[in-house]
Amino acid sequence: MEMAKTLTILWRSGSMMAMDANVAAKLASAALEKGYAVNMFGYGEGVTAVKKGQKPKRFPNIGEELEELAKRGVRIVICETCYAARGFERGEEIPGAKVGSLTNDLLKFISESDRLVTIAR
Amino acid sequence: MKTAFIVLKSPQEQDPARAIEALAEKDDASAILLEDGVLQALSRASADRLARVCSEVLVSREDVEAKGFSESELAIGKLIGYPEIVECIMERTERTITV
Repeated sequence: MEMAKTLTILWRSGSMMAMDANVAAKLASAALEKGYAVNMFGYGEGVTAVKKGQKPKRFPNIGEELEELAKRGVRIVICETCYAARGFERGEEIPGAKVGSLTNDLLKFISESDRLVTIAR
Repeated sequence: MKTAFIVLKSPQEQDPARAIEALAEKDDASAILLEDGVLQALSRASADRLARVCSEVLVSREDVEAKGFSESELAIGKLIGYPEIVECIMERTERTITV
């Protein structure tokens, strides 16, 4: 059986900055529906998108969107250094997101992927 | 190499044509306009710049409609949804560059 192609999405914008994280989530969802395997890696301000308990009043809830994607099989990892730099601690992230690293997780994602998309400004 | 160029910024913030021209031949270049990037397809001047360097311009329907515009107002390109964007990235091009 042929392996599904893999898409990795790197996003770098925070949960309340533009709609970059939401675009990344929509791309991931559409790719899953088409049968691709999907990885997502949050870097820089992007790590704020996995904060548990977000309650935006006028924006889509990116935390809930990412949690749902993780339940559907998307591997979501964020940069530990970026996370700690913003005062977050392990356990504050949504279920299904992993606090990881550029050198281990992102490199592994890239080496296993057929395409890499960066959503960043 | 067939390349999908993702454009997220408006023509007031960025002219993506220079980067696209530097990185791919026109016949190999597809532009995918998302978020404020869709405004690049609504302005005649920026549409002309994209036409010079891209063989196709794909415009996010969701973002155009969110801003109150419609397909008839596009100066270039066609409206597409996320399934078609994924197809362009995964099947029709070999690499993706966000400019």
